Amino acid sequence: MMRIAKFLKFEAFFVVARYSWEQEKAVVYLNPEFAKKAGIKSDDVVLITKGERSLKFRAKLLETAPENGGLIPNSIFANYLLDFQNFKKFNAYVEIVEGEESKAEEVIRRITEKK
Amino acid sequence: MICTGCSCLCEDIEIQDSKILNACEKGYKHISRFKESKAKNRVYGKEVDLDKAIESAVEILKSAKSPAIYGLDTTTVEAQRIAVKIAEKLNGYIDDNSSFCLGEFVEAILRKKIPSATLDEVRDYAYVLVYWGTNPYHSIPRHMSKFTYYPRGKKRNRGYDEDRFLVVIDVRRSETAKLAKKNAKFIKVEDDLELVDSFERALEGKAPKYDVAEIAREMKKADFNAIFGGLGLKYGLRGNYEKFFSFLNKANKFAPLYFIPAGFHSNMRGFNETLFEEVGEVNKFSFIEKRSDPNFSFPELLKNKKIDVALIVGTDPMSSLPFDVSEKLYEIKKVVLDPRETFTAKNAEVSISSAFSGIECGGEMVRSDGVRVKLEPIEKAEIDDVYILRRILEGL
Repeated sequence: MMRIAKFLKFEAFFVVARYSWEQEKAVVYLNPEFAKKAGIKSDDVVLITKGERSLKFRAKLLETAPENGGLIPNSIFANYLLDFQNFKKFNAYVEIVEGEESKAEEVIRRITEKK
Repeated sequence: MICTGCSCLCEDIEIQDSKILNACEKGYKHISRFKESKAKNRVYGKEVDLDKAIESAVEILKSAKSPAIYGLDTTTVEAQRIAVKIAEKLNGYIDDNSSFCLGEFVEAILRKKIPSATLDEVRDYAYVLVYWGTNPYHSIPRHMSKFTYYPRGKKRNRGYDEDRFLVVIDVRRSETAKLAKKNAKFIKVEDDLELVDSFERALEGKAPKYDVAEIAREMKKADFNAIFGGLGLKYGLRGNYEKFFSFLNKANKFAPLYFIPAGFHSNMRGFNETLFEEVGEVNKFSFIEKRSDPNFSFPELLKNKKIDVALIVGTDPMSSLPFDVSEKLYEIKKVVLDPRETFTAKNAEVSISSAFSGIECGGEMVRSDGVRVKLEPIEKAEIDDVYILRRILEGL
């Protein structure tokens, strides 16, 4: 069945925090209410875009995530999107996409290709 | 043994029949995985023996025009002291993660600008416990059970729901915030500076913007209260640390209120104290200019292209710094000492495999509250940070 949410992009508030369970994969923990509003289900792959940078994350649902967005564990993935002006929290766009979540090697490639 | 998984440095970890007892999930992972993905000695991508790796590290550092030493928050005080000597010998910069973590708070404590206490004192005496911009559930998982909220102390022996008043301040209802039920309060903060104002007003008996009057009343009832501040507080203050320090000192006219930084690498405070003892500054120090400056923080040095070589010890800046900084890091020469094969180690000109402090080697670390502990390793590696750094220093 066609999912209309696949064609929508939502502005969301993200918190970057230490998170014990998943720091090695690109995972975003979305607030269940926000995810419902945005038509995002657990295990969907979402593209998070902040300014000129974007990465794909595997979406999970978490009640303790901020109401109007989600939580990204402190990781190479979060650090790719943020800067020191927005080190612990930032606004970004989120949308459902096809494919798999981004890998750490992909971020490293983007860093090293800029040389 | 002592767990070096975070700045709590829990001293009651036991290893029995290969089982790790008493550790939190974070500590368990830290201890149980220490043999996984060990770093290799490499020079320009080619595996070499230790002597060759150290020799190449010395060559690169000797040829540097403007070197920096960075990291050091997961290594021992003994290694940190040698690293300071190397930075001095090189006339270089030295910095750690505290320059963008909780360094300002540790500095204020060391300079006696704000009152602080030990976690053992908190356990015995503290009534109002404020977690501000930190979620210990994930960052320092045994903080509340071992030191602050749950344990019964000398003067606090009736249990947490009677003898403690828990306050959680966060931008979201975190796992810790969910504990704020009976004798407790959760404040969802949007502006930390306004919240500081509110606390000041409430203590003075004026109407605050945030609903903190009850907290102020509870603080005034007690002879020992504590704030544990994390990165959420640091970044929420937007650089206005003095305002927060002033509030802490004003609050102490109404009720004793102590501050302890919460949630950082195992020996970040050790680095701050070591550098403070040596040069009178806690971080971002230049041995050429003999002073500390915001522009001498490792990220700023990289962004402003002020350094050409970095000696990186026990940290993975390629992974932990924002992209616009890590891409600059890739442009300079890197010598990395780490027990783990990090992204930075993989992309370094020289990578030297070291030992996990507290697991494979001993030494001293400093807990988040300033208490010094002697590590009790379960194995004894021949090659550790102290050995490698000493040889580098000798080579220079």
